[in-house]
Amino acid sequence: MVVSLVALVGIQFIPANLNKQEVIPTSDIRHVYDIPDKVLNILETSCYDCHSNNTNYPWYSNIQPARMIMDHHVEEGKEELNFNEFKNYSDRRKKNKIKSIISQIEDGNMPIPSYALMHNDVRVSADDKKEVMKWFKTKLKD
Amino acid sequence: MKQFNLKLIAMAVVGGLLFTSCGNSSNPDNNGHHEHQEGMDHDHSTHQHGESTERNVTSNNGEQKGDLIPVLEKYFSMNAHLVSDDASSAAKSSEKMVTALKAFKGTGFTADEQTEVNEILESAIENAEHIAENAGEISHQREHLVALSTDMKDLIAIVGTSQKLYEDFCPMANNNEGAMWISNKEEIHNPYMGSKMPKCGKVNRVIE
Repeated sequence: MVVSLVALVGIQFIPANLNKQEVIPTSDIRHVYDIPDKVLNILETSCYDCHSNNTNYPWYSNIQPARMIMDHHVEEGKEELNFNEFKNYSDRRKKNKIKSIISQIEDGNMPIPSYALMHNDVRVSADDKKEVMKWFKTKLKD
Repeated sequence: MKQFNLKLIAMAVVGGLLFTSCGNSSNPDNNGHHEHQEGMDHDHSTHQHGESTERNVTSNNGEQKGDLIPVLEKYFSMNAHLVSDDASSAAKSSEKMVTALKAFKGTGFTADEQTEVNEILESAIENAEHIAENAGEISHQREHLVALSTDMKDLIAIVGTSQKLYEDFCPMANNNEGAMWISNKEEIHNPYMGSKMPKCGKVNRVIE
């Protein structure tokens, strides 16, 4: 009991990463395509926390081990797909990314269910998911 | 971006759809659109290429700008594992394919070709890594195989090949959107459908 308490206090000192960049870079996906406001809004609310250089940190992110898990998600998410860097991807990769976006949403893998569970605000309704996928599908035809 | 050097690729579309343009190396539109030219029900195994076409094909196949065999070997064994629904062996082959892709070096590319090759390799490595990391999810592996196969096709078009290869197409793959893959065998072994429908598909093009 005492040991786990000490451990819990101890891990609070693990340094956290900070993924913050308020200015939207010129390489952001909104500078590649003309994205409908609604779709962009959904992306920013429900995807950008892990797939951009700007995370909107919830209150519990100040507590370990929550932050460690979150940092890990952000790191992996950005490596896989960074909407802030979308313009820098080759056309071939842009197409790959869009295909993966569609199938990940379609299969219910994104947004990560546990993350959506913790954040009411990032949960995406089935209709909104359809709208996002529909828009991305139009980009595959370009 | 689709300015491929057709000197390096030789095509024989089943049914002779494109025989007239095969020898025409100045037609940039010649590449990458064949698999959509369907509407014919051919049995590829009975199809014979005309002598003159063969010769034409050979003469168009002068130079190779790199050795894709190490890459393709891994790609073929990965596909063979996917045909038998063996996701974990497919992942292992794909991991080796990543290594082979990273080691690939070509020579004599034009600046445009080099840019294209770099982009293809970057994409192919990413796709192969996904296949390697998804030993537990064969549908996800097959999803990335769609893109990886396009990467391979485009890479072969630029680099050339010393092997006779087949561009196969299955209209049912990729959630019925259809998908192609490259094979070194004339018989169909479908990596997308696996044991459900291993023979689904047809040869769309012969690459040599």
